[in-house]
Amino acid sequence: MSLLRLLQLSDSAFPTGAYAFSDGLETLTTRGAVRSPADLRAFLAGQLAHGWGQQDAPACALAWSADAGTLAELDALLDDLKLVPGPRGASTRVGANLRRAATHLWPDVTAALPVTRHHATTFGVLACALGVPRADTVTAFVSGWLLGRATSATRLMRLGGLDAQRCAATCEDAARACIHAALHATPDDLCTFTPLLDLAASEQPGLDSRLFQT
Amino acid sequence: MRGARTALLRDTQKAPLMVVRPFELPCGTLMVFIVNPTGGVLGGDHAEIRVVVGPGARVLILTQSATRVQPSPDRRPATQDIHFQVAAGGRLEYHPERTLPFAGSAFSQNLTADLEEGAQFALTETLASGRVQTGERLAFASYESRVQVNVGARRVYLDRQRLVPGEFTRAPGVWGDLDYQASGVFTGAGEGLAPPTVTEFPAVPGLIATGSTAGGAVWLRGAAARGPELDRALLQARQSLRHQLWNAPPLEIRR
Repeated sequence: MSLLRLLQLSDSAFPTGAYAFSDGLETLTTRGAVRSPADLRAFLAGQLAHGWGQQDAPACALAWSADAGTLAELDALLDDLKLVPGPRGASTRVGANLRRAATHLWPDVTAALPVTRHHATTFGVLACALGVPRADTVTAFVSGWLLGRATSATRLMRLGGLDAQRCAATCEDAARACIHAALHATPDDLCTFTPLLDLAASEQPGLDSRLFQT
Repeated sequence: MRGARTALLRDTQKAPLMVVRPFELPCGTLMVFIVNPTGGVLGGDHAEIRVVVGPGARVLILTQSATRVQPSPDRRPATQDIHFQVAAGGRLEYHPERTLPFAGSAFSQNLTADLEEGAQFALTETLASGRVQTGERLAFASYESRVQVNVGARRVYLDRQRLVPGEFTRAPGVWGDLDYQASGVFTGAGEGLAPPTVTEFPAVPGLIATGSTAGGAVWLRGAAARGPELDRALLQARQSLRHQLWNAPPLEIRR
């Protein structure tokens, strides 16, 4: 039963609105920094190793079964660590949409859930309440990000769906390492190093034409 | 303060860090150099810097040369713990020279600034990928920098950067083929001004970006292939933010 719920929760068609955000990938493709499948694969693995994977994935793992106070601290931590307003706002919007959709489907489960705001914390606490094991929760969360970004790339580059999936599949080792680290992380471990994505995400609102909101 | 002028009222120093006799800039800001006359910091070294800025004081702290992080054979990091306290009406700016992590080095820095309401604070720092001029890049073991700025009991800025160079450090979105990186924070409004007062966040596409944190401070990020290019953009951003936030003229630094 919990696997069915996890698959539904992490399905790309689940109405969270996550498809509307690229968090800087659009700028990188527009500027030519990501233009080939090899570039995309490097981008995805780079973010798992140095960026999103070192911040949101551990936040999701830490949120699983956390109490209300810890969840509030995690959300405050993500508020501050996400310096660029676009990705910060996207994270809270997707988090709110996720909770709204889950409340529609499983009102008895969500009624007792503590307050969360960001995508990572909401996904973690929700999956826990649905009976999903912790490691499966984080694996689904990381997979959702990886496949979501690869799918975004098909709208931004000359890249077919199969090639995009191949890019995601070749990131398996980086994804495994990311999941392992997330499952053993403490709040103190949420650290990143992505100066070029920070610049790109900050410049995205100024692009001449945009497909994504961030 | 000594009368209406900023003065260094007390300094306690212990090798290898030294405080060079401060001097006053034309704008009245007191410039203080913190110097490390040795060849750099070694694995296992621990340095601490404590600065207290009183009401009305204007202080600029610089370092005289780059922080050279020497190799750490046993992988113990060189650590640095910095704590600033700034009273209401005081201003502290800290712009150290670049951090150069040599091959095999490990560096970990914690910087906390506790500000009273009405205090002003700015920090910019830059990192190189190594001894770039000699072709040594991303050969260090680890680099970590944690910066937190509090105003009263409220956290207005938190940045945690950790880099353990690996297969994907050169990926697009991470550091690409660049070798220099900058980060920074600015906070506090000018006298009689209500924050935030930044109407135009300084930015150079692909080089420097600034924006507002969730807590209302101004963050800064930069990246470049060449150090001087980054330093020039950083200086311009600093001047713009000092003017917009504090209505302060450019600093005329004499070295």
